[in-house]
Amino acid sequence: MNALLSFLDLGSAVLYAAVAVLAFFENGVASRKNYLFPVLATVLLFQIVAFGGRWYAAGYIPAVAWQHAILFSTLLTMSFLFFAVVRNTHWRVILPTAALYSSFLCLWAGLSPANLAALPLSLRSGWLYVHASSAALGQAAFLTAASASSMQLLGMGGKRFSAKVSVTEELSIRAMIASVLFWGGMIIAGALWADDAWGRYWGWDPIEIWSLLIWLLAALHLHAYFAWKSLHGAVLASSAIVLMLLARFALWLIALFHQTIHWYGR
Amino acid sequence: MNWITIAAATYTREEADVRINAMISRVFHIAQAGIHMLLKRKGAAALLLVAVLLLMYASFVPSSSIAIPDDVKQRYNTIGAEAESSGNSLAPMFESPVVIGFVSLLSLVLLISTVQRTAQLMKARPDRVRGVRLAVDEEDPRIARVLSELRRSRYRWSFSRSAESICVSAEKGSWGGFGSVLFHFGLLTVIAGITYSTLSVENESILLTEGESFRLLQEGGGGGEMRTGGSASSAAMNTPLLRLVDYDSLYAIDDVRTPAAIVETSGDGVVQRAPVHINAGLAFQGRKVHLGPGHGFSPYIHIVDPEGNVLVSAFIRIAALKNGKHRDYLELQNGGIRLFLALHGVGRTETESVPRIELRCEERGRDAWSATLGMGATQQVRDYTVTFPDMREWVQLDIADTTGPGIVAFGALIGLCGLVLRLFLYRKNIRIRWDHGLDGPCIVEGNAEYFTEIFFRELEDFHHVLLTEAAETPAVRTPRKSVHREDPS
Repeated sequence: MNALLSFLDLGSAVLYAAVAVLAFFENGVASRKNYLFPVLATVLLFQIVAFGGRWYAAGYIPAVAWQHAILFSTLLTMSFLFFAVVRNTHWRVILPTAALYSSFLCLWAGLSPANLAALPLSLRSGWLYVHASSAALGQAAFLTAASASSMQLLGMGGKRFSAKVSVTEELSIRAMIASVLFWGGMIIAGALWADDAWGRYWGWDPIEIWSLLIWLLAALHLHAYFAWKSLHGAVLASSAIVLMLLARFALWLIALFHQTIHWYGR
Repeated sequence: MNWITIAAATYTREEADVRINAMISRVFHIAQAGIHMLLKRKGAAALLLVAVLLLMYASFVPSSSIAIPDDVKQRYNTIGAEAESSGNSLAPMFESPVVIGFVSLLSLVLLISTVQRTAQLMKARPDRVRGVRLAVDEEDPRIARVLSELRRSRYRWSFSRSAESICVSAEKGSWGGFGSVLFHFGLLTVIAGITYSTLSVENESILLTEGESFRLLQEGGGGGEMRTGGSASSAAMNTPLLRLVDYDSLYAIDDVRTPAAIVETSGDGVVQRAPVHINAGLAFQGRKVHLGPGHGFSPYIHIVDPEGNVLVSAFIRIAALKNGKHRDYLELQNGGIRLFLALHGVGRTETESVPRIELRCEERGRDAWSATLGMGATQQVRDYTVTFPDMREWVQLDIADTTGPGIVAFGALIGLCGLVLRLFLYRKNIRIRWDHGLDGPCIVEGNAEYFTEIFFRELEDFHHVLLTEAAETPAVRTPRKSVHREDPS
């Protein structure tokens, strides 16, 4: 079972790299229908099978270990982009970099697989599903925003995407609003769960502080976009990428270096 | 004549009044300008930046263990034991006046901006566009096509016609402006809820040694009474009583092992035994009992003075040596003698589990003296007899009462709804004009509150739909790109 799951994760990494290349060099309807669409559908099938397999084997939503959380959020981002490809709306300015990021993330998660241990008693709560799903949706939105911003940065230096720069910026901001929404939902679900589990909404735990910090940074990003036009372009695009990296890795790194009661999945 | 001295200058009463009024006016204007600046989006960004820096600083504050407050020590025979956890160690920082002042300022700005923005929206909100269907000749296939598209995209439309010009104006998303107001109102409610929760709800941490009981004196409030020994069944059956029966570090549920405190609760004539394990509290008398981070061993110490008086005879919680130094002591002879204690050999493996107390006696004018006291042994310290007959485990139980303030959850829900509104709704206008009658060229133009580039693509799609009817209609001109961007605030 573990070998199959590793194969699916690493296969997803390879196929996402293929999607990135196809999306970068996509040319017209024929290319989309004949090459890009089938590869994207296959990789999503891989990820869905891996996700379902893990859920079946473990008996709970595979979003507790950081590797599983990464794979889950990647699946969500790419599912969203799959529908964008189907509807043919704005996918060209997000998919190439999103697939590239997803490829790296799947490779990383696939090379250091997490064991499917029994769910600790402390996590056996319905809130896990709300909290973990909101976190994964937030991560997916951050990834979408960073992908659009990466395309924006590419467009600034190159010719191919220069006409679409302003669209990528707006799409990035819309994704950032979605990430503020879902990340906020994650914090709230976590607070309500903490009240249920520990008898308090908020405890200033390092992980709690950093999740709030990321949320505030995303809010700052939005306020900066609407308040300062001079920041439009490279500054905000870079900020979106940094936020994605923070949302991906900050909580994991903090859990490694700080003592925290959120020790699950380390 | 009354004389008033201000800033080392002497003025008449009238002159002073004028100066004071001018000063008050200046201060008022400065405050007004400050608030005005903070109410703008740039001010909000500055506040957010301060909050971010504050949290970043907080996350790098070195973590320390939580010292048990003095009153708790006194109540629970604890002389210095510490609950080793870094989880809440940052909390005191957030109770500092600077941080509370900052949060108050944030709340004030949120409150004023919410009120101000609501008033602006109510005042500036354009009249609802009403469809004047009777004036529209929907029989005309071109207009019918336009209206059908507008209806499909859920635009509200109006129709105007002059001698030569025909114009269809459409709008949607005017409720989007309320999204950010709703979000900020939700945020304000969350802050209010947390403040209310902090001020009104009394949560309590108790340290119970196996066999000890805790009696809740006030239902729904804080304050309880500690009882050493005894069992729930022997207590008055209608008194809410919580008794720690056992602490099991390897309690198993469904083959998963986790620390658990086995407690016995009694009240209203019912005695129940249940585990309280980590993250799964036990509802009891309208409150919830949670397993806290504190846990340790509590030796029974019996000290008798030279006259045969028993000075101490109880299970007490003492801290282990830290960096080779004692941290807990008892004072005898009005402070003349300090008897330091440290507990050793309380590991969970058999080799480590040889409990002993390291004693160190310091007395004025005499050399320090130390000895090790094994369990069941007696040691003579100066003229005092110290016995260590027994040892039990103690745990920290947190009694929480946070069911009342659902305000936080309500505020959060409102805030999220506001964000959803803001995400999906923003004002868009489309105008479709025939300046030279229906047989003349058609102009499609529009503007959006923000995200104009995306809207322009939508406009192109709209134009494309109209073009599909081009065979039936006269030339449809490419939409002009509107770069008008209103400030969404």
